[in-house]
Amino acid sequence: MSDEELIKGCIKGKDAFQYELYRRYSPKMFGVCLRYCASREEAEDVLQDGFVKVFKKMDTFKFQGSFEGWIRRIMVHSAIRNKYITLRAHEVNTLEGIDHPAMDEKITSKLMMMDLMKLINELPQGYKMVFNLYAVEGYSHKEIAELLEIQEATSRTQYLRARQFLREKLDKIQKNESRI
Amino acid sequence: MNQEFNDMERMFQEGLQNYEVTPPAHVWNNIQKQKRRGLLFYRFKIASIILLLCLTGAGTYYFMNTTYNQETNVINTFENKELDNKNNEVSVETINKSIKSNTNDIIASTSKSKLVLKGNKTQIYKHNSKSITKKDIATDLKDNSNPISADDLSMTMDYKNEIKLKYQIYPSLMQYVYSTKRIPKKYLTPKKEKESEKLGYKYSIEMVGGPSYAYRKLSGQGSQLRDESEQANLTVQTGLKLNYHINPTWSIQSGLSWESRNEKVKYNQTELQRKLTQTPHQVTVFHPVLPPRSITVIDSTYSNENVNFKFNNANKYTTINIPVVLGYTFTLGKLQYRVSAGSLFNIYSINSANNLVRNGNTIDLVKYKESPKIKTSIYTAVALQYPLNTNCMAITELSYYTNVTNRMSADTLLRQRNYGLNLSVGAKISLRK
Repeated sequence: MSDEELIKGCIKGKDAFQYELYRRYSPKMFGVCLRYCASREEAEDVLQDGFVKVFKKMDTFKFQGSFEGWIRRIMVHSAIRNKYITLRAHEVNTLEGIDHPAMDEKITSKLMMMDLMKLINELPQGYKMVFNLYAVEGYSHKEIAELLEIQEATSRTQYLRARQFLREKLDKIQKNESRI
Repeated sequence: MNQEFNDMERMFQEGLQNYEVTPPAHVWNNIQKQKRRGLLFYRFKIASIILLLCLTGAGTYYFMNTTYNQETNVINTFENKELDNKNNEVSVETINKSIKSNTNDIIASTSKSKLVLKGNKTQIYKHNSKSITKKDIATDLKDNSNPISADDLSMTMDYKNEIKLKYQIYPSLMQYVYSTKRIPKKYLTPKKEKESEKLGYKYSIEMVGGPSYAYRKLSGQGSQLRDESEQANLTVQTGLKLNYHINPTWSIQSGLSWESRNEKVKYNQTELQRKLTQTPHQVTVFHPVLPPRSITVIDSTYSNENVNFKFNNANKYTTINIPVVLGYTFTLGKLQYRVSAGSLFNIYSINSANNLVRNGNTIDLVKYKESPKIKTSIYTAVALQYPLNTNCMAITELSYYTNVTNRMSADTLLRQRNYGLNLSVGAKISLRK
């Protein structure tokens, strides 16, 4: 069944179509939610809310652009609504004290998905949100600032701090790799 | 720095954009629950809006007409009511005679118009004097200590020449006086009696029955197969209900109603299925060192074959419900209308029903499992009542209900709600105080 048939069935409110859509997209969307949430339980809640919104707003999908991208945006927004208050508490407005060491290709090639997820989940909540939005979803700092209701400079700061944090973690992995 | 930024982004983008984790099964169940809660809220919202609109309409109608209408015991239609000086008396005897003869007598006339008494009922003016004159009314109007009674209202209005009155009076209905102009309140006697006393009765009992068409909406796993195979039939329903009349307009209704629902289960489909055939046989295996060994090898082959599923059954469901309904009654012409809304509680259900359920590659008939809980429905009805005599009315009622709770047992993945449209014909008998 094509995505278009599936969407039309869902718009009519047919449960069988909704279930098929959920079955098709929920693993990927759960992956998205896990990146944004502090715990698995919270990610389940966000996934649940996100899919309820998807079914509710299905008739607003214009069949322009990727359907997966559309669902993903809804999931990201659900996660943000769930989290942005926490983020505001972490708001930082300075760019000082951040260095930018070069990336080691050797490390990246050895990192698996699970390792990347572990690294992301070790980030403080505010950094995690901005890093996910910027580095993985491809949002600009301006868009992030609007979404999270923070200043654009704050988004940049959060992102650079997240990178610094990840850099340190990657260095440790690199040292361990060289010992082996 | 940019190069390093790109590396970092690329690593996480490539690594995590396609990251997939299968969520636990309960998430889907929770989504279904949340959707249902939303739907339930939406239905309640719609029902509330309809109820509110009905009540607002009924309330507006009631209050708009309160000052125009006045109950009276006059049971006649007066038209062209101008009396001239020569014929300004209408004796009670003349009126009574007219009533007894059940004819429409001219009891007063002028060169321009006539006062016609359409007497065919049992009661008319309750005036103390033998005749009512313009003078009597004029005296009454001047004398503030003796307000005009409702009984004399027609003559009062006639004298004042302010309004055109029309009476449509039946004892079993509310006895209204309709006017085309507002009646000044100072001419009206305040109502001192209780509304229920004016109505003449407090309780009424009604028995109705007729055709019923009930269909259902399914959701959840397996709903598509049942939707394809089942078709509702026209059936019957009946009910015995007791009305408690709070006042002439508002009443509460409850009682028992019985409803039968039938449906056909008709399915005839051929499916192309892949069939696995496994043939075991013995093979001897030789080894350069070890002795030969005999092992069992299973040859597996897949083949496509057409499988036909054909079912032709009938399902029957019987339910007993208790309605709890608030009714608003109003009269237009000779007919009385009642708009009611409330709940229907399904207290008992029995069925001899089987539904189609897909089980892997096969389709089976499975016993319908209904929830043992009391099922609640939102109920609305519009009734048309016509008086046959002082105590009895013919009723035609169109009612509609929709389930708000699932009808099926909790252990099934399928959910079912019923919707019913009933047309009832019957009689309503008022019980005297």
